[in-house]
Formats: sequence, structure tokens, C-alpha cells
Amino acid sequence: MKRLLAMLLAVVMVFSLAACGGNNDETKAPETKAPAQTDAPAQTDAPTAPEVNPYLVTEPITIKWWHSLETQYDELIAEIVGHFNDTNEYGITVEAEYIGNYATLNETLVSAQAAGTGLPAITVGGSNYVGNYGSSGMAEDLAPYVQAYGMDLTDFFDGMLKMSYVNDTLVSLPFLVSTQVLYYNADKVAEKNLTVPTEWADVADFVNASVEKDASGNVTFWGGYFAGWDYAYFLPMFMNQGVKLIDVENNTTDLNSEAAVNVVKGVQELVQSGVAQWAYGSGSSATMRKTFYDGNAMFTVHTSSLYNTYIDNIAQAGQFELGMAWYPGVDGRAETTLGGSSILIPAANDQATKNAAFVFLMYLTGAETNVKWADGTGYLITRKSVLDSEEGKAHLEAKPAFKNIYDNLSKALPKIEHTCYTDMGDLLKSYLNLIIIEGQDAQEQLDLLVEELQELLDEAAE
Amino acid sequence: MGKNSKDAVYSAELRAIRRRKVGKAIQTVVAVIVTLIMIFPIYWMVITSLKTQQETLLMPPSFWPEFGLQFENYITVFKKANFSKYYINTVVMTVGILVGQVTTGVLAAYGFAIGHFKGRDILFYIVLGALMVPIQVTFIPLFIMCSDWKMNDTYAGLILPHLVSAYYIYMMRNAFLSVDSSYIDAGKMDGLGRLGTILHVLVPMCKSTLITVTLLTITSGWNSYFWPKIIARAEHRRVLTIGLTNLRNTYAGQGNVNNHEIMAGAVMAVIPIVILFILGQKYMMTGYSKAAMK
Amino acid sequence: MSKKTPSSGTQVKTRGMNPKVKHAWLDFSFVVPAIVLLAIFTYYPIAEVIRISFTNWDLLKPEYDYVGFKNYKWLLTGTGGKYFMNSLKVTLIYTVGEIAITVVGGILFALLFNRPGSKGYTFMRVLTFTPRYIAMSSAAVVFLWLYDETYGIFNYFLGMIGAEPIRWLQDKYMAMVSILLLTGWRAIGYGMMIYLANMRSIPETYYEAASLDGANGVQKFFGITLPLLAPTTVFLLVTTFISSMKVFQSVDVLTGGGPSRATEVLVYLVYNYAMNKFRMDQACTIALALFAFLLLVTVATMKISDNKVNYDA
Repeated sequence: MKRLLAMLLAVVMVFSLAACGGNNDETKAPETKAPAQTDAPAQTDAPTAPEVNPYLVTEPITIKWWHSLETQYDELIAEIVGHFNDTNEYGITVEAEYIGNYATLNETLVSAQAAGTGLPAITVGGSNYVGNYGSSGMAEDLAPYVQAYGMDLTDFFDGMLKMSYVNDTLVSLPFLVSTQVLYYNADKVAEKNLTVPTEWADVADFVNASVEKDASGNVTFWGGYFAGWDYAYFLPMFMNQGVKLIDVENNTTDLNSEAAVNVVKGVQELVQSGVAQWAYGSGSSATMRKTFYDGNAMFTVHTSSLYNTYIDNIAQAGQFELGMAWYPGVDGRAETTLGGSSILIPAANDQATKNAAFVFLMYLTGAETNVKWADGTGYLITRKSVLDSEEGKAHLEAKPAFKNIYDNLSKALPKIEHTCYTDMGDLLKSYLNLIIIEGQDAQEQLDLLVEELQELLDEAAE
Repeated sequence: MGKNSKDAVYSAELRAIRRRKVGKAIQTVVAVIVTLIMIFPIYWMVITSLKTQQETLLMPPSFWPEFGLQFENYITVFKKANFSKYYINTVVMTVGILVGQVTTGVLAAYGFAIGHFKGRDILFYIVLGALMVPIQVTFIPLFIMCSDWKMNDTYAGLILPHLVSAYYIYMMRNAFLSVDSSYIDAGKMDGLGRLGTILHVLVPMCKSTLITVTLLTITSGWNSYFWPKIIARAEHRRVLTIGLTNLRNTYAGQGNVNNHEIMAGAVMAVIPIVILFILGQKYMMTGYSKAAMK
Repeated sequence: MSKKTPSSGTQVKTRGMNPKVKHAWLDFSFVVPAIVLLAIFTYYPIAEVIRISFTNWDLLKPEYDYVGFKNYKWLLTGTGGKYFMNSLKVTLIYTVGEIAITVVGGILFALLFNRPGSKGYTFMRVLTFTPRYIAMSSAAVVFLWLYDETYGIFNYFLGMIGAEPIRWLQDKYMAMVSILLLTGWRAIGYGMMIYLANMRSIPETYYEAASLDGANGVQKFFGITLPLLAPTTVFLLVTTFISSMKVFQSVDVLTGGGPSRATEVLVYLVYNYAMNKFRMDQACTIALALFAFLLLVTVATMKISDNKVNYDA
């Protein structure tokens, strides 16, 4: 032991010198980690070449598609991809691969991009990440392809399409889009003769009127259950109060403004008085849903994409009627953010692969497939024409709860584009845990949050 | 009087014996309770893996599966979560690391222990220095390097950075040094070359150290988490440790609470190592205490 | 046929070579694979970490430049410093906790389970050591389940004795305790085994002599056992310290560094900057600081342990 340690000491000195020496030798020129943008698309912006479409698939090809749809959707994917493989006229074969949730997919994609190998031909991108893919030049500019194939973009809902642009470049197309909603136990609402609040100010009364306790004061039926493990679910709560999460122009935030503090205090009081729950931490999502499925909570604040999962599980557990309402707003202002995923093509691939990828992209986002996604998952229809079509009507008949969502869809907006957006969300998430669950002072904690966030904002602006 | 004092001594001794007995009984009771607490998580892991999903959520919980043992949980995990693939990946990675570390380790240990050449000691310091550089510090350049060499999501990427272990060299060198040189000389008389000396003299004589260190190599390879998490993200190259911790997302998704299946996965991931430990119990224990004596 | 030899005189040819030199070259060839691999996969990356720390390398951006000491400034005075200090504190708390469990818990367990010749005790020792066999990845998901706020068995047990449920992983203060419980569960049997092996090697005559002097059990423990176990303790201290400074997996699985960065250990911070934010430059700078800290502490431990411990015991 002693000898070993003594040797180590010697080595530390020897090799710390060696390391510095090595460094000098190692002044290799910075390598380009992102691929050089292919010049090919630029050529076709010129309206000169209608005769030869450089984006046409000329040979049979097998391409990979990365996605984030968990095992419960295996059959749906097999059906949709299988149909494409069987019917497309170009001999394209698509292999679908599940990578993980959006965060895992993001890490995997960026790693593959850095490696310059193992990139898929086409991939899903979580809405939080698409901005990065666009600004870094990682995603192919789709405009020339759209033009070449005469794709009608105006058919997509406006907000969703806006989400697909980064700095006025079309880097993706809407794929599986969702937004925050309020799921409620419709049987209980009827039983108690309540109305589901559309105004945030009425939420507290609704919770208090809903909660049920047993003789010894233990809650048997929660007045409400708020999702607090992901910032996406509670941001509208602030946005509708007029709180500027990040003021992009001034590079500031007013998350400690009076309006923000009050809205947090409201939820804090509900949770602290033991009538509502704030779900935070790993596993809390599953617990929240389980509680609701079993018929032990009035509502959850969650994402519309899980509608089918809710329906299936309630059929097995609590067996009540599920209602889905738009996120409560303030004085009629009821904005939400669009979430879910877009679909994009990595620019680093060769042209033949990209061409095939775009053909598949058109199929995936096309009207016919779109309604299959909407039927088989809880994600939204992305095309206006689909909503008016026969299939669309049948879809709404099967899922009447979505009517309300489409009526409000214009209020669902793309997220703010800012490098600190994720930092802001994560900070808010952990401070809300301290305030709402641990009962710390709202103003004090939000001041600390703003201080911390401002530092990050300043640093990002440098 | 004399008799009384004798009695007193006698009864004092009796009391001391009784006190010792009571003490021992208390010790045993405490020891049993502590042992039960220590193995409870393992029990709970196994028992949960054999329950239905509904039963895992019962309150009060059942301490024995009341609806029959659900061995199909294991099959489900194997089928749906691609556990067979994780197994193959883990085995390939572990074997690769094992072959690499044993080969480079034994050869280098010979060179440093028996060989004579200029700069031997300096080179040995360099080997020892590597002990102080954890992969947690160097993983970024390693990741970039492996990416440049197109080794993301490949077995090569998983194995290459672990082909040599400074610890292995250090342990084997010490073992070889402890072999009396007369044996090596005797081998030379029999016409053994360097490789012959290693295979026929040094390895047999240092068998227990070799097995101990090799077992450690296997377990640390099998259980490695940090580097595989960085280099092998794609589903088809995931190893057990990564696949297991992803079970929550991967398999259930947003769907359901699936702790029964996660526990089944956990059991399957540890079984090979537990078997290995049981087979190599003797060596592991001597290995630990040997290391402690250093 | 001898090749032209450079004037420096180092001969690399084999034929006609002095047999001694030839043997030296052959001996040398045995260490070459190891040295080459270490150079490529251990030492070169260290140089790279240093180089990258002087750039502004964002993996999401196509190019990067050298920016001098900007990242070091960020680490000392910017937000990096704040998060680094937090992580350092968190890591040290974890380290102290793990050492305490391994050393103090190990000794206590060794005393409790020490009964030579008893088969029952041998069996119990084996069981107590078993958690060590459960790989961290499995153990972590098991504890995640045990800690579940609603359906977890720990909170059920607490309810049985009338206690309030604990937010094991969501509470700022409990999260670290929960992680330490997991680590400790796996480490304590290891500490016990190491102490037991060395306790048994203490000659019985020491205790007999002490008995004759009228020492009781407690005195014997503090007078004989503990001092003679000092080398073992130092060994555990140093190895546990170095391994716990690198803790990652339990944090990654149980808390993801939360809540409110209460469990964001150093390696997790580096990982987060590298693989989530893709800021290779900042990640490398923190990694270097971690490395420097590890070196510093190792050197310090060497100095202290050289003075205090009698290794020949």
C-alpha cells in the first residue's frame, strides 16, 4: 500500500508534465463536427429545372426511421410502416427503430451527428429540441423538397406549422402534436352538479367542492391532481396570467411578478391544505394516473396525447366517463403550448437517402396516415382537410372529447425560442416543488429563481 | 466462612457465565434481525417480480404472491423489452474486455516483474499513473475519438477503452514477483521461452490471484454503466444495465406502473453474476482480504 | 545485412545484436501493448480534456474556436462556479456518508457477526454480504420501488408504526439520505468482511494479556482491536473516498441530480454539461477540476497516512 501510494505520487508529477507536453503536440485544427451543408438543395430554388427533379427516388433503398413511440404502439407502427413498404412505388423499405423518450432520442441523435455515423434517414424530434436541430444546421431545409413535390403546407394548422420553422427555414413538419389539457371525471362532475372551470380563478373552488374525506379526515377523493414533474404542464398557468417566462427582447424574466406569485400561492394553498396533489419526481406520473384511473381524483392536468391510454385504463379500473377540457385561462385568455414531436431529415445524409426519407415523410404526415395516428394514439390531427373529411368526422365521433380541443386549437402556440428555455423550465420545476410541496414562501423562492435564471440569461447573451 | 466465600466465587462465576449466555442470545437476536433487514430488498425484488401488476399495487401489500407465481413476467420482459439482445450485448462486451485485460495484463505483468530493460520502472509508473485517471474524467475525448472512428453503438466502442487495466497489471506483477526465481530458472533449463514460462510456471503458481483479479474484471465489465451509457445508446447495442434502467420508459412508456416487470428484469440482470460469485466465493473473499492487507 | 544506424547509436536490429540487448527488447515487447493502449485511451484523452477546456465547443454547433481562459473564468466566477461548488459540496457529503457507513458500519457489523466456529453466523454473514452481489443497476431500480411514495414498502412500514410517509427521493434533504442508504446497503457487508478478516489475524495473546491486566471488552476493543485495524481503516478510507468521488449511477437512476440540485454530484454535473447541454468545453473544464481535486486529495492522503499508520502491523 505504502509503496503503491509513493509510486502514485511520483507518477502524478511525471505525467502531469507529460500531459502538458502532449497537449502541445495536439494542436490539431478544429474539426467540423457538423456536416458541411449539402449544396444540392440550393440549386433547385431556381425555378429553372422542372424537367429533372433532383429529389426523385431513382433506386430501391432501405432507410431507418427513429421514433419515440413506446411498445404500446408497436402494432400501429408495424401497420403504418408496413403499408408504406408494401405500397410505395419507389421500392423504399423503412425500418422503424424505437430509441427512447425525446430526451434520449435527442442525446442519441446529437451523438450520431457528432460521430457522423449511424444517423437515421428520418427521425422524430421532441418539440423542445427541434429549435436546436434547426439552428445548428443539423436538420435539412425541407422547402426545396416541398416545392419539388408540390406539397401543400397551408393544410397544416397554423400554430403547428409555425413550430416547424427555425429562423424562417422549414426544418421539420408537424408529426405527433399534443397540448396540455385537463382530464376530469365526468361522472363525478355530474354527481356533484359542478361545472368544469374554464377560468383559473375558479379552479380552487372546483377543487374544494370536489374533494371527499372520510370520517377521520383522510382524503378519499382528491379535488385535483397537478402534473409537476415536467414544466410543460404548468407553464400555461403562468402564460395566461401575462407572465413573461422569458422576455426575449429584454433578456429578462418576470417569474417573480405579483401575478406569478399569486398563481403559485393559489396552488400551494390547495396542496398544503391537503385537498389537491402536486405530482413531482420519478414515478409520480404513474401514481397520478393510477389515482385518477381508479376514480380517486377529480381531474389531472396532463397532455392530450395520452387520451387513448386514459380511456383504456379507466375501462379497466374506475370505469367512469372521461372528460377532457381546455386548460383554464384568465379572462378568456387560455393559451397553451404545442408539444409532442415533429419529423425531420438529418442534413448529413447523402441525397438518395434524403430523397427517400422525404417520400416517407410525406406519407407519415399525409392526410391518410395522419388520421390513423390520431385514431391510434391521443395525438392531434395536424391537417385542416382531415378534420373536414369523412375520416375526420368519424374520428371525432369516436372521440367526441376532442371536439373541444380542435375548437380551441388556435390558442395553442409554439414555444418561445430561447437557449435558456429548458433551464427556465427546469428551474421553475424545482422551485415549485419547494414552494408547493414543501411549503416555502412563494415570493422568496421565486425571487431566488429569477436571480438564478437571470445569471444564465446574462451568460447566454454574452 | 471459607465455604461461603467459595460459594460466592462459584456463584459469581455462574452469574458471569449466565450473563455471557444472555449476552450471546441478545447478540444472536440482533444479528438475525439485521440479517433479515439486509436481505429484505432482495426478497422484495424477487417476490415483486412474481406478482401481477394489480397485486404490486395492493395496500396493504402481500408478502407472498397470492395469485400464483407469475413467471410469465420474465417472458414478457424478454420478449417486449428485448432483454435477449441486451444479454448478448453484455456477454460480448464482457468477453471482449476479459480477453483484452487478461492478455495485456499478464504479458505486461511479465515484462515488469521478470523482464529487464531500460526504462522499465518509469514505464511502470506510467501504468500506475493510469490508476488515477478515471473514465469519468476522460470520457468526453474518448467519446469524440470513438465517434471519429465510427464506433458509436458498436462492440468495438464498448470494449476498446477497457482493453487494458492498470489494476490488473499491478496485481499480476506483484503476484509474479512473489514467485521464487529458482522456479523460473528451472523452467529455462527445461527450455521454456518467455510465453512458456508464463503459461507453465507463473500462471499455475499465481492461480488464485489470477482468478481473483479475473473475476473482478468480469463483474466490473458486466456491471459497467457509465461508458456504455455514453457510447451505446441505440436499442440494438444496449447492455443490461442500461436496458434495465430504461425499462420504466422503454417498455411501459406512459402506459402503466410496471414494477413487477422491472423487478423481473433486475433479477435476470444479476443472476449470472450471483452464480459467478457463488462459484468463485473462495477467491472473491481472499481477493478482498488480500487487497485489504496491502 | 545491417540497416543504416543513425549516429545516435541506438540499435534496433536483432541479428548480430548483443544477446543482452536482444533480451531487453523482447522483454520490452511484452509491455508494449499495455503501454500503447494506456497512451491512447488514458493519457491522450487527458491532454484532450485540457485542450478542449480552452475552446468554446458546443457539439450542436458546426465549429469551435479557442477562447483562452474563458471557461476557467466561467468556472471561477460565472454560473459554472456556483454549480461546481454545489456539486463539490454534494459529492463531499456523499463521500463522508459512504465512508462513515463503510467504516463505522463495517466495524459494528464485524463485531456483531463475529462468532468463530458458528455455522449459523457464517450463514448470516454470507447473507449480509449478498447485497454486494446485486449490481448497482439492479439495486437502484429495486430501491426506486422500495422508495415509491404511494406503493413503496418503506412508507408502508412507516405507516404501520404510525409515522408519516417520507418523500424519499423528492425531499431536498431525504434524497441524499436515500441514495446513501442504497450505497450503504451494498457497502456495509463489504466493510464487515474486510474488518473481520483482519480482526481474526490479531493474535489471541494480545487479548489474553489484556484480560490479565483486568481490561474489559470495551477497553480491549479501543485498546487493541481498533489500533491494530488502523491500516484496514486507512485502506477503506482511501479506496472508498476515491470511488465515491466518482459516484454517478445511483444518482442517475434514483434522482437525476434533483431535487433542486441536492444530489447533483460532480460526475453527474460533467455528464449533464456534456451529454445534455452538449457543451463539451464547459464539461471538460469541470472534469479537469474534478481530476485536480482527486489528485490533490490522493497526494494529501498519502502524506497523512505515511505519518500515521504502521503498515507492518
